[in-house]
Amino acid sequence: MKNDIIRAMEELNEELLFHTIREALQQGKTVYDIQNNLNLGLELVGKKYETGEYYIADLIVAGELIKQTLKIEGMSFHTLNDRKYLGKVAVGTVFEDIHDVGKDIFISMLNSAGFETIDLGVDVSAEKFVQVIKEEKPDIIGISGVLSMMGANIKRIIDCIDESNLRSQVKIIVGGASVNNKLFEYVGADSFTMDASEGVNICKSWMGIQ
Amino acid sequence: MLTIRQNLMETIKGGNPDRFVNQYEFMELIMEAPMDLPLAPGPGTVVKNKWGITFSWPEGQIGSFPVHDDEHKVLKDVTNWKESVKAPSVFYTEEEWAPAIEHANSVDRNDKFVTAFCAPGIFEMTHHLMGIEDALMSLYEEPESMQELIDYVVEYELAYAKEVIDHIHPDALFHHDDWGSQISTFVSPAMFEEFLLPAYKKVYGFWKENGVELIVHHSDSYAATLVPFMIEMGVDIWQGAMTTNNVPELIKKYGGKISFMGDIDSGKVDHPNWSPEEIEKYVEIACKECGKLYFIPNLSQGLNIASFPGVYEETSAAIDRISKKMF
Ligand code: B12
Repeated sequence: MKNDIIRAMEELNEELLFHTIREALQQGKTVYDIQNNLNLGLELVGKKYETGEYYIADLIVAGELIKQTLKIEGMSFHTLNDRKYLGKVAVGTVFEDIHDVGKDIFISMLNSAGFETIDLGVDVSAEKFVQVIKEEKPDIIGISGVLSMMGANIKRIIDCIDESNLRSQVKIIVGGASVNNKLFEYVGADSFTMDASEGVNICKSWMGIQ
Repeated sequence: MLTIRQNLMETIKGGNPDRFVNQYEFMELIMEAPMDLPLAPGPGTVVKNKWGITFSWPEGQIGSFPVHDDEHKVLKDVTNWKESVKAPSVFYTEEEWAPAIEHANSVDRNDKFVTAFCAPGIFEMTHHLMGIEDALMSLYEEPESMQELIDYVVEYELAYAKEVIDHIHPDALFHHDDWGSQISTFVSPAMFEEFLLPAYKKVYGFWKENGVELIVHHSDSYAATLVPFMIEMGVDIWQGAMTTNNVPELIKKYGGKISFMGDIDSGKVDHPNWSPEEIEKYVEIACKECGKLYFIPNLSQGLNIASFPGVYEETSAAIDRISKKMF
């Protein structure tokens, strides 16, 4: 059933969204439940994008709304003792590529689903991915590649993780406009998608959810 | 045999072309015209253009891009655009214009269109100034300021257009502005209609009132839902129409009002392992499905070049071969 939070998120109605979240908190709803609703709403936004009802700007607005809701007093996950993040995901755009619109949307969706995220930015080297695995111990690595010639670079990152004997410690998902079946097989990731909300579901399944 | 220009006109007017218009052959682009290009000139360079936008092309990368970290972003708060954004002068010396004038004068206008080049486009200019996420968010959150900023960019474009027209009297305009990704537009058609349609009506209207016969707009993206607006603003040819738009269907629906140039996605054929066979295959699919009228087979790239040496030329050769078969 669609409650007000889901509907407000789906409709990108900022005022209604903030109002309903504050109300839900006052009524004693858990952050976890609210996040779940936000995420359902965000999934509907993603669906509307896929079917052409929403546009790239709407995805960006949705991401921005999620960022804002996490700032509402009492909404952030780590303020809760009883609930942990679903997992930790480090996401970056492959080196030599500076496109980050899609990557940022994926990160917002992860946040809203209850993941802790590390945004590595754009033009991220293989060494930096290796370093973040060593220092931050993420469960999952997300690599975004938009330019069509990024296959070799993505492979280089994954090879580098492998050579550092860290491959077994992380799951790797690749996404972005450059990614397809052929590229996926070539680079040696664990999964790929061109759809950010599907990416979140893949991450969830890796963490044993659903 | 028709001249290149006649063949183009027959194609877009629904007459009797005697071959496919081959990619950019009808446009004689006057790239010598002084302009404020939105790019760093080569690998390893960083430049600041006249709007104050920094463009960087790091060594080893495929192209240049505007830099939007805190230090380099020109416009941090759109409501303050009047303080932060200063359009440069559109006036150049006669000496600076001389090579462009010489090039334009050397063109046989019965054969080809002397073509002015304009980039970035109006939307692109807003995101070069402030970053694309801010630009899109601002359309929702600060529509009035965005409207003012767009008007300001339009004023600049009109002033520059006047200079180009006075100096080289172009027959055609090739104008860039990417309006989407492969599968979606950046903004909804309603938002496009509100902000960009009026802006482009002014700009393209001005070129047309001043002797420009042909407006070619580049957006190598999905933009099928914007075609009615393209027609309304005066676009004659949409260059960069990717296969995701279902070009054959667009031709059926809008042919006669606008023509489509593209349907051979650069991403599919322009890669390090390119082959003549692969190019031939995609050229053939495009030409057979789109047909002879209102269609110009072309790589989706926004200039008469390809990323990998030989791809553009091979595509042209494949188009010539299929012309012989189909006409
Ligand atoms: C906006 C844009 C830019 C902006 C980028 C702004 C920014 N902050 O990102 C600017 C102007 C800076 C830019 C610069 C350049 N660009 Co550009 N750009 C585009 C454009 C118009 C749209 C891309 C976009 O934002 N798409 C929207 C997002 C939402 O889609 P997405 O990234 O695919 O993300 C979705 C999914 O893939 C997924 N996703 C994304 N990442 C991830 C990661 C994971 C892990 C998961 C699970 C999911 C996921 O989630 C998203 C939503 O579902 C495209 C045009 C086009 N036709 O696509 C060109 C395009 C991508 N650019 C291109 C080029 C060439 C360049 C430049 C080299 C400029 C130039 N000289 O031509 C430079 C790049 C330099 C570099 N080193 O990277 C080419 C690439 C060509 C090719 N063969 O690869 C394109 C296709 C345009 C073209 N045909 O010329 N660009």
